[in-house]
Amino acid sequence: MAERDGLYDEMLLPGGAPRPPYEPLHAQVAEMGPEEWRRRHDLAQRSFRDHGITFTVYQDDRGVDKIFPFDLLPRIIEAGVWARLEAGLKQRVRALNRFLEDVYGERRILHENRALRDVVLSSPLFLRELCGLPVPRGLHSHVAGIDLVRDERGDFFVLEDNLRTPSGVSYVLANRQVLKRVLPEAFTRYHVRAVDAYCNQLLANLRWLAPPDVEDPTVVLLTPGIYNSAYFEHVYLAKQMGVELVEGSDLLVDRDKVFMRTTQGLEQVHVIYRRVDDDWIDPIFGRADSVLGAAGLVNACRAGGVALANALGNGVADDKAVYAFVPDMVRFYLDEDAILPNVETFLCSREKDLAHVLANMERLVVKRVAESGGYGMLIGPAASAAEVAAFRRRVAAHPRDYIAQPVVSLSVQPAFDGRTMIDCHQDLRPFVLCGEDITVMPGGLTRVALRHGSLVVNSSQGGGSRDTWVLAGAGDAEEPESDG
Amino acid sequence: MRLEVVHTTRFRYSGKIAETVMELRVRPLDGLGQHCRDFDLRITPRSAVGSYRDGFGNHVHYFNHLAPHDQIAVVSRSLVETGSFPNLPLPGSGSGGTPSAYGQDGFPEDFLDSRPPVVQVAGVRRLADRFRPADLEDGAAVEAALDALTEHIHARFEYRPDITTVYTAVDEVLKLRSGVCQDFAHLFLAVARAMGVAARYVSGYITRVDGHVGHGASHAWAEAWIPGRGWIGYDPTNPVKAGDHHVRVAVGRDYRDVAPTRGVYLGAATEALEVAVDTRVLNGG
Amino acid sequence: MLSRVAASLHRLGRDLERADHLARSLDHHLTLWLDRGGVPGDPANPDSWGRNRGDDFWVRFLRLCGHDLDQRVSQREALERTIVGTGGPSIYGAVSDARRAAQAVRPSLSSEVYEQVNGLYWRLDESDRRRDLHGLLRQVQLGVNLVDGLIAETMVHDQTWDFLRVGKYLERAANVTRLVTTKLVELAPGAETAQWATVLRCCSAFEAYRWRFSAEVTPERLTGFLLFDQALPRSARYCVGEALAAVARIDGPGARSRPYRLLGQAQALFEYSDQAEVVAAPVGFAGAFGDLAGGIEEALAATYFQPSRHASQDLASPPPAWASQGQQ
Repeated sequence: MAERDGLYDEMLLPGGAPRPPYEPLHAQVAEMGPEEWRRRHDLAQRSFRDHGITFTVYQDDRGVDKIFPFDLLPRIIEAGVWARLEAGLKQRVRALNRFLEDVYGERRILHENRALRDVVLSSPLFLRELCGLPVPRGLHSHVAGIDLVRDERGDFFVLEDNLRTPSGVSYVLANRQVLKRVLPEAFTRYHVRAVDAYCNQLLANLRWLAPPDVEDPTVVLLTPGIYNSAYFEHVYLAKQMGVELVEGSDLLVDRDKVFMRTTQGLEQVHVIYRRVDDDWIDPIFGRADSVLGAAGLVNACRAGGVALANALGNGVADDKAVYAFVPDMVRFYLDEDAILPNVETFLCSREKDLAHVLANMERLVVKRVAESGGYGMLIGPAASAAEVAAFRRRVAAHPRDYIAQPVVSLSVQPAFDGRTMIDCHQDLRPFVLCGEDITVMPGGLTRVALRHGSLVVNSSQGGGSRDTWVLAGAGDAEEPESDG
Repeated sequence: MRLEVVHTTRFRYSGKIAETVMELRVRPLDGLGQHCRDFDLRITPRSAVGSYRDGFGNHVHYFNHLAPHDQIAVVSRSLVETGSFPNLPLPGSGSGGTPSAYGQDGFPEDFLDSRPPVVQVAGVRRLADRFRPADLEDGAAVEAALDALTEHIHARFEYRPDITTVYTAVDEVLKLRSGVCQDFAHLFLAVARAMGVAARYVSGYITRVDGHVGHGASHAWAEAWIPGRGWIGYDPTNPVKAGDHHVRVAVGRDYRDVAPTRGVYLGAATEALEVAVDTRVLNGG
Repeated sequence: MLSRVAASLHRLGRDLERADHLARSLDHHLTLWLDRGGVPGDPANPDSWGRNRGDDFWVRFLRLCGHDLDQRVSQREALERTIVGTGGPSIYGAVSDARRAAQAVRPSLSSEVYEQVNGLYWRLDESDRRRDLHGLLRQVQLGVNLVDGLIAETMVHDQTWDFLRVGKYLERAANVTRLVTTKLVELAPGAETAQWATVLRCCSAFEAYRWRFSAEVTPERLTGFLLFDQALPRSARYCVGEALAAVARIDGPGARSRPYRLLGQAQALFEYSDQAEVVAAPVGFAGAFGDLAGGIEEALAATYFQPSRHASQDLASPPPAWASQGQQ
């Protein structure tokens, strides 16, 4: 591939030899041969379909279950590299939680940092009506997904923060299950850190949020229902945690307490892990026509009758313009330097940056600040002149709605496209859980842009995934990954 | 001036409904020269009432009623002492107080951005260009510009009940060239913000004064942030600066933040609404 | 258990049973029709078949399946309605409803059960009904039976299982009662044996009947067998008994819920009715059972499925409404 020289290959050195951690795996793949690889590949895809590990795409009113394409080759992260990532992620999420507590409370940072103040106060994701709403334990983001990319030198950068309702963790768990079945021999030559503590940890954290006088709290997972594309994940997590999967119509609020409607009458709920967006969660608070939430839920939270995870209003931390200030937050709240760097970001709301963006759009990635899921963005080098022109007009008309970043040449790793191995771009979404302590699931979701040359890894945009192995270091006492 | 306000809202349903949840913003604010001496709220059918202060500092009461019912009455009685603008921070004293969790003393910039129904359309920008003061830092100039805007809205827009709804947006008001206080307040906000002046929506009451409209129901106007002076109320419906005839109940970005009642219920019945506001001056003032 | 989950389980049991019943009924009625009709009018034009015969075989069949119609339909149209129609019960409709119900309660089902319901839907969706109708109908029947087996063998026999069974057995009791009473009205006393045999086959009970009686099929014996037999898993009496047992388990010892009491009355109807009287007056019997069955469904909804015990009966559809006041 011509562009190859400029890219960082996670598995292979420029000469084609495997990087040291990949050597045993590389040898195994070679021993196996292409025919056997194809057979295992098909086995894996079938395994996903048989187990209903799918997401649903709705077309013409009919649901189509699609599997999230899976590549057999795991991505390997060495213990030392991971230790630094883990420390950086914890630091970042700690700072973001402090930021959310502050910005909906005392607003200290907005007094200190005029540029951040301008960005926050003009963010459509800053829900100022929530100011002063107390959250249990002062914690706003209980589950965070931080998207990381690796540039051409192999350095990790944070690309975005997802502190609202990040999804994808069920695929991490399912990928590992499937790979252990389909490619068991690969695990024998490595000491791979297990991922399956996630659901237990999440459940423990959720229970910790319950009102203090409740001894054995009832936790539920609130889903928008079977038509949501992440419904599989909701089912999976509810089953793994052994909690009830509820829809809005199952809930009822009475005098600051939340109940679910059961065959035995009303049963009180103490903690809600919600996968319904802020706007839809309570028709009194958000959209009046929403039937996905429960009327009065937000006031029940305010009165301490129920805990919501994640808290409301986290979107302001996901705002792609606010993102640019996360290193400032780390300094302000923690008095530390950010361990994980950001990608350089131009705020179109700043005149100087806007001029640069408008003049160099074909070399930049332009994103709408309030979008997620890979929507509303322009990848300059891949766009037509007409698309660039259209975006230029939009950005000029609504500069605060856009930011721009240089194109990060995402790292690549070979992936099997059904016939042969091709180089595919990938990123990494680790999942960070906040409770009494902050824990990071080893690895995370490696999303692979299975379309040749594509830089978009979102599942809604045709991306796939692969298992992510964090190797245990000398100091890791934990048991290696085993079947069970 | 000492005022007594009785605000009655009655919902009648064509059949049985259940699981009503309702939020109310009917208790007058304290501050900016106004003081709420006494407040009393009655809900029928009897329901437990909770309360809190929202992100703008407004007093919010809420209740729910599970059992089937076919009407709801909300009666609030407030005793208010209204002041006048001499009570405002004097020129040069800045925003008047340290910012707190409650938006009352937050940043004026909290009220610079618009969302529907306050929409920034061409007609709004034209008005903004026409009235924009030369220097946005010059308090007197900003105040004068907004005085002129207030006069303009009053002169060019006809007060007509029943032509708009609570959902009517500013572009529609510009087309109709008429509306009620809510529409005029939204239009004022749109133009002021387009000029670069922070402005917020005020929900409240107005006493019966000759030539003024807005009594008998809840009233609405706008407040703008004037450099060196602070928040000043403009009532484009009447057209005056808000004074001691105005009772401030709630502030927000637009009507959606301050609706006196906001509720949902379960059932197929249709709703009929009846509102009465009775204001009385207590000491002849 | 969540009320919504209980309601969906009930629907899942009912819809699977309905798909199975429709598929089997269509299969055997098609055979009967071909047997009786000999060579149809114009072999090249299936649309002309029903018309040439000059009777209302397919209209009666569709009514039996719960369709409401008065005009003549061709055989082909009748097949379309029974398989994919939307105006009344159809196989495709029942299977896709079952799938939707299964999705809504996916955490409560074993993976095996969910995957088979899902798979049944996709196989049906992809099958070619014009080329191999019999194959399709067999696939539905076997598919439902497979799911039934998986429910019995891969799931805990708790409330989840009981709500599935209530739905399934009430649907089955209603189907068999309607089939028998309708045929008692339709078929003259001297009707050909093939007609009565078809009724038995629609209930998978032809061979069982032979083992039990090894005698000619008569309306009296058939009625006794399909409605009142204690051991036949498709007799109405057996089904009502199973539904009653399931509700008794849901309620727990000592409780006497309204569904339990109404089911008890239904059981008494089958226990103590006179077989000869039913044969003489099938319409009255069908009406008596129909009223009870309607009452049972209502009682189930009010007791277990209603969104809230506070909400009154007519609040089933909850469009949340605004209460807003404008400002003047």
